[in-house]
Amino acid sequence: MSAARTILGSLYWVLTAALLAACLLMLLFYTPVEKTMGPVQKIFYLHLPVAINTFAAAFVVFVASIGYLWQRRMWWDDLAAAAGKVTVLFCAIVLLTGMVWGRSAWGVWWTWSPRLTFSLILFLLYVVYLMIRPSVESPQRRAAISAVYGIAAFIDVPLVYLSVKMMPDIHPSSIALEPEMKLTLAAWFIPVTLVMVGFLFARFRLNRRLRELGAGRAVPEVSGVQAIPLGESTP
Amino acid sequence: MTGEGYLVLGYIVGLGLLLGYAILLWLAGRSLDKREPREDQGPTG
Repeated sequence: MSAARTILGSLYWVLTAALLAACLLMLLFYTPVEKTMGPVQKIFYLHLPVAINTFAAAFVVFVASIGYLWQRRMWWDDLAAAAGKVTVLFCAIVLLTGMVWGRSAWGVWWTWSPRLTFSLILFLLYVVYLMIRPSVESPQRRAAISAVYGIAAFIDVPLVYLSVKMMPDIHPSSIALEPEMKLTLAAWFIPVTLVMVGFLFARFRLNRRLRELGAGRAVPEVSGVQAIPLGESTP
Repeated sequence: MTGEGYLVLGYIVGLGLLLGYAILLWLAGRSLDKREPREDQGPTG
């Protein structure tokens, strides 16, 4: 069972890496250069899929937080914590690739436009989410506080998405794409989404195993059995 | 820096962070495997 899972996991990552390599080749040899912005516009094919997957990861935090408050099962908290980490990582990539693109296109690394500001706030909100967690010692209390925060933090996601339409700024709300560009963009969504799901699943498993190592092998949220700390013997 | 330079920098930063996190996850998984005997390995020692 475990060996089969390892092989499946390896196959998953090999496939993802192959798709990423294919997308990079597509970017180099197939995708045309945009006339106004030039070659730097090709950052868009990484920037947008990562941005959409940031929203997806933040949505997983939101759903898992509701799940925990509803059912009080610790695996919801493991999932929310994993998604929080993925949200921070992906949001950092969105901000950094956007800064590089902005430096070339606008001549500045950063500008306080509504979308950029809401994106930075999103990043900081989930950094704080990760910083809150280790500061609460009781696992149940930590899960409850994190869940409430995880639900509240999600409010910023629609603000990032809608800010361009509500408050037009320097950030483009849409870019006219040729058919080859649309195909490249669609292709990039596949490996980026696979990476996000893979990271989420791997981190979730790690969190669950770490919790089991810390609290013994019992699974209190399923069976109601009292957890026995490792190293303690039963009478 | 030229447009090509910024493009390469953007992809190095983006894909580099993804690769870096993948390596960290892999190392964390390996470290846990050493701490905890896996189900299919049976009792050790």
